[in-house]
Amino acid sequence: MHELFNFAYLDPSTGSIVIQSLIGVIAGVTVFGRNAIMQMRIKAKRLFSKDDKPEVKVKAKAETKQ
Amino acid sequence: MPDTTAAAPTPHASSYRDPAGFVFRHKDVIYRQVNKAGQKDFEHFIASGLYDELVAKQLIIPHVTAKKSAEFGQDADRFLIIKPDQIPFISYPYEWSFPQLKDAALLTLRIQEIAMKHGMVLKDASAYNVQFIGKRAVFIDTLSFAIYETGKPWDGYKQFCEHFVAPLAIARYTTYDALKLLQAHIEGVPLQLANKILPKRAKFNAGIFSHIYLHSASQRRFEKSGAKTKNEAQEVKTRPMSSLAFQGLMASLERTVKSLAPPKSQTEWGNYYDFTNYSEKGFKEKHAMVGKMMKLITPTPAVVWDFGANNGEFSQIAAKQGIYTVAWDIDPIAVGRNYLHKEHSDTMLPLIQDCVNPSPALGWMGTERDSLFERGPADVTFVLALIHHLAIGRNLPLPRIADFLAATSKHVIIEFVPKGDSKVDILLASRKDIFPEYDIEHFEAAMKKHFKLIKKEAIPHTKRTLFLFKKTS
Repeated sequence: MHELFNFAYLDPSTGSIVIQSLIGVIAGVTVFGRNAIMQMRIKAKRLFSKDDKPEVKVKAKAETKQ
Repeated sequence: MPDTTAAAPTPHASSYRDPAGFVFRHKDVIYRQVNKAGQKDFEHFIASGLYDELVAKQLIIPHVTAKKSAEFGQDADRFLIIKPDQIPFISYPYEWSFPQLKDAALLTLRIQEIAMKHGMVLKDASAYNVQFIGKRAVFIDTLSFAIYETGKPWDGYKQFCEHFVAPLAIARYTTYDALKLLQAHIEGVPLQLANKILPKRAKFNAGIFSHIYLHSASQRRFEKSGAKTKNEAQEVKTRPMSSLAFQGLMASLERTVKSLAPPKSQTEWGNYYDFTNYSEKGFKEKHAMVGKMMKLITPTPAVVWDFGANNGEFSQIAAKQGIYTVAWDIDPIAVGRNYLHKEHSDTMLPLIQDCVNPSPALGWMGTERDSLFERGPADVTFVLALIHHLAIGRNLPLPRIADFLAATSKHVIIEFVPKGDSKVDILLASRKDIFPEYDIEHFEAAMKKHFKLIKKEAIPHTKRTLFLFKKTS
């Protein structure tokens, strides 16, 4: 392995490294939390709207026409 | 038979930062050498399918492997040489309009996202890694990819903030002119400078607060008190960053860049074509005349520069013929509009340029970034409805304008706007007429020092004249 590759050729300052971890954790948790809430909402919607499935409605309409 | 005694290629003046390889020019073609130091990453880049995916999505410049690398001389550090597709015209971030810089930022983040799926990351985030082919942003640094090491922070974070977030944020909260900071700071706008320029209300943007204010505060803190010894610095650099945090950082940067709308300020030329003194008929005639003059030029031009192109109205004449056309204008709003104009040809590249203060050579030894002149001359230059602004608006004597055109053009299609034209009258209305030599005779005499007159024709329904000149020496 090339010696220089022990570190990247860019030298990010120490402050940049520290802050990116902090921002990343906050943003990551926010995004992860938001996604989790979205998933929960979708699941809840599915749970409480079982009778209103579109295919059921279409089927019902088709039966009425006959 | 390859020349094994040939000297090793000399890296391009701007290509000295990365031990993984460098760019060089050989017989007017740009190549990239991959050094043994970059072999492992490069092989992973190809084998992981990342390169193929980026090429398929037109996000990176494609390349082929140069089979006869011995013709480039011997180099013990060399792994291989690749020949990338050639970029028709190299532009720089300080010549881009706001939406162009924003698109370059989003391209960088998109590539980072795709790279991560293939177990790689961008090891830097320079705006100079992006070029425009017409209006399409494309990543050009094939050696920017490194194998992702779990827990390692992103080395390109600071650079991304300085090259993209800071200039876009400053422009967003001040004026378009802020993008010119990239010319003074070719390594990116320092965050502490951004911190001082940005108004207090910018802190209400969570992304700017994080990536500029907090970031620069953190830099300052560690510069003053932290990481005093090598060991301390090493400890911070090896502090792990979780995959969640890494992805969160990328998501936050993307959200921040997307949230930055163009500044609300108006410019002088933003709505230029709403205020011309051309009748509809005269405008069409001028279009037709420029088209006819283009046909007189042999061989068919490969590159056209249009100075004072505004929204690219006349640049389209060349671009529609498939000629690569660089549409220069001093006005960032006009350039941005041209860039976003969906009906305009893909062979047109809109860029910001002030002819009176053109892009200089910049960087180490003044050789890293070429000046405007070093990137020319163009086969044809359009100078339409511009000369009165240079001669009267900016006090440039006609012979000096001719000198400038001689340095940038092999042919010139130029419109002379005489005194008596309503636009010239407006320019002279508020100032003393100190331009006794501003007339068509002096103009022709100045041009003939460098050019041969090919065609001269009055533009119907106007007082203006259109000229086609060919450079003599």
